[in-house]
Amino acid sequence: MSTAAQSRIVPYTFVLPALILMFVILLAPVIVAAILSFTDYGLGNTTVSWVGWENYEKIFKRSHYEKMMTATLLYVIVVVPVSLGLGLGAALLINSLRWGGDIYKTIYFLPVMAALLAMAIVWEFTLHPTIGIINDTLTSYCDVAWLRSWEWYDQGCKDTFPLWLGDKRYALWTLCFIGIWQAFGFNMVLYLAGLTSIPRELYHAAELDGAKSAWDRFRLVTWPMLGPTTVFVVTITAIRSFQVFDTVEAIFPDSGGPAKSAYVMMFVIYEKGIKHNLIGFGAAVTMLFLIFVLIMTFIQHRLVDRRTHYS
Amino acid sequence: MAGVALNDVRKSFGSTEVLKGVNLDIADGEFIALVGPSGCGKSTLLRIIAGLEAQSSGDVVIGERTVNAVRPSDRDLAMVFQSYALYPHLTVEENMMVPLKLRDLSGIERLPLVGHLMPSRWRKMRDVRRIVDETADMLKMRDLLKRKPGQLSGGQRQRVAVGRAMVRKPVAFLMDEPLSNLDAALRVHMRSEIADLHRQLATTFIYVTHDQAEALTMSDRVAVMMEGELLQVDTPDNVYRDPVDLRVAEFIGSPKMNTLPGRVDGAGKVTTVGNYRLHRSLKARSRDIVVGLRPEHLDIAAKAPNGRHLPVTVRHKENLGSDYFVHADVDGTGHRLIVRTRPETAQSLPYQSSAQVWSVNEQAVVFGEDNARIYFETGEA
Repeated sequence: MSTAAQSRIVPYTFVLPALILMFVILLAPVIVAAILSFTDYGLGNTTVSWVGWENYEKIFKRSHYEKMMTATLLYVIVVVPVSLGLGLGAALLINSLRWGGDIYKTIYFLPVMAALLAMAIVWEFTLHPTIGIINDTLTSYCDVAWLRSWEWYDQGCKDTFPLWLGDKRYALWTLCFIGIWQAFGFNMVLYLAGLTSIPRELYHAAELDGAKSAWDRFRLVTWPMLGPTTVFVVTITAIRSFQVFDTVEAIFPDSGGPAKSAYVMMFVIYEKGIKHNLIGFGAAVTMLFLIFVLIMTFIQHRLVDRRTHYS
Repeated sequence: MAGVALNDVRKSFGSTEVLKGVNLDIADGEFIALVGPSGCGKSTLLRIIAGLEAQSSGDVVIGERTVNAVRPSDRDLAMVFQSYALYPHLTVEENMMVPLKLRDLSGIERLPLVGHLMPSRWRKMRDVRRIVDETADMLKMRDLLKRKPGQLSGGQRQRVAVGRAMVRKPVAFLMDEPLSNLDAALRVHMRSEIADLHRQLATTFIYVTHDQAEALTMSDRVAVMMEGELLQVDTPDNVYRDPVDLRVAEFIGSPKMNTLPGRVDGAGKVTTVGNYRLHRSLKARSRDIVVGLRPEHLDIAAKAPNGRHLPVTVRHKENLGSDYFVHADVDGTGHRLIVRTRPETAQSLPYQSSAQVWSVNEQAVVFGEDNARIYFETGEA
């Protein structure tokens, strides 16, 4: 081999192992899943037939998959902004403390560290219609007159308070609540990190420029300077919300919620692909899920690109 | 426009006192430089004037108003920060609009969407744009208006920071080492620009720097600060020629003033180490002193013309083109002197050769062991 040819090939041989690993571990499974999503494959099946777009057609035509889309998107649309707002609020409050901030940080971060599966069981007890502490507490205030003037509360006292997890009008919202409870501590930590990186001098400049109210300083300095953090928080929280599974599996292991009101995507993948051994169909839902995540990531990249002048 | 007065301003952080009772009267329209080594409290003093930091005791008076309890945004001052502190997400134009918007637009007019629909906002924004355009013209940065701070060079950012400070026509400008992030050539250029700007605006400038050259070249008066105290407040000329304190003498001037320990005898005559005697007599008798000799007050040659001299050994020569700085050790003492001399003289003195140094016209400033200046009996103010 000539030296020139050799020097052209050698660099590639160094890169090759990494490329192979990347392909085998990261890309190949996605490609395999994509192929499987066009088949009726099930684990242990001896025959596999190509079914084309049939799996995808099912997702978009059958009513309980429509419920899947509604439940998943609703969950994301509720959890992302609320946990972001609470996380930012908590971070701002903790950041303004002279001391004791560490204690609050630890407490708010606890739900993030706890296993959501275990926590879901605790919430299941808490929200139990008869022995749960929530409805017990609500019932015990039934003799307070001004609370009774609230129609929903009055109704609850006369009849019963909601079956938080058993009523299709409440189940998904209750799951959202647990999701927010779990996610906002994480967002708070991200925002706290973002806040510490804002130069103090910008606040001083804002003060001398005449920003008198906290709102003015927030508008002029804090919020714009947290822009990159916000993009990251939104992406991460959205992806994690798309992935919600543990709470649904722990609380509604067989059904996906009353009237499939909490029939989220991850749960469908698990139920169809693993439990029912409809791997082809599970793969199709997985592909859909991947597309959502890719869209999120793409949007994040565009936003981060636009903000390259932050420095 | 207004003058600024500080009355016995003190500041302590815990048990360390960083400002030990500062008194300073800054006239309306004056350019005063606060200069001192890092950690002397000059930046703290500026931040106290701005209101970003509260003094432990003492008064800050702006114009006729004591502003101790007035928050920074109501003091009508503008500040240029060392880091420029531009809002990175806003364009240059928007950065410069910020102070005007915050002053002129009501809270509702500043709201996104809703505010933009209000006719009163449009009217006010016309004025805001006009002022920003005028300021940009004055600073010759019209073509930068649409850019963001991240796309600007250090000098351009500095200019934008000055522009943002100018638009509101504040009663005084506070500048906290605004040139220290620039490269040397640009710094020299910006010095003259800032001095020009002061002449045009005729507003009070309070300029903090650790660079004595900046202080000397730009300001009407220099306030030399050290360890939380103002040692001398005077014109650049007086601070250089007639320092009242040894620390001032050593801080101002580059290269540093030479100092030699010495003694004044019973007749007021000064003798330094190396047995060099001055003929002038001092207003002090029989005590140890420090004799300060500026490099340009000394001269060097292989043989001194009139006999009286300090014997030295040449150690190092710095060629500045027009002049040389010759570094020489006083024989037998280890004291180093820096002497400014003509190139031909310096070239005639080889390294490690013996030479003789003398004081031209007996120019010297003498200090007591307590750093306080001691004057000669004649020929000095």
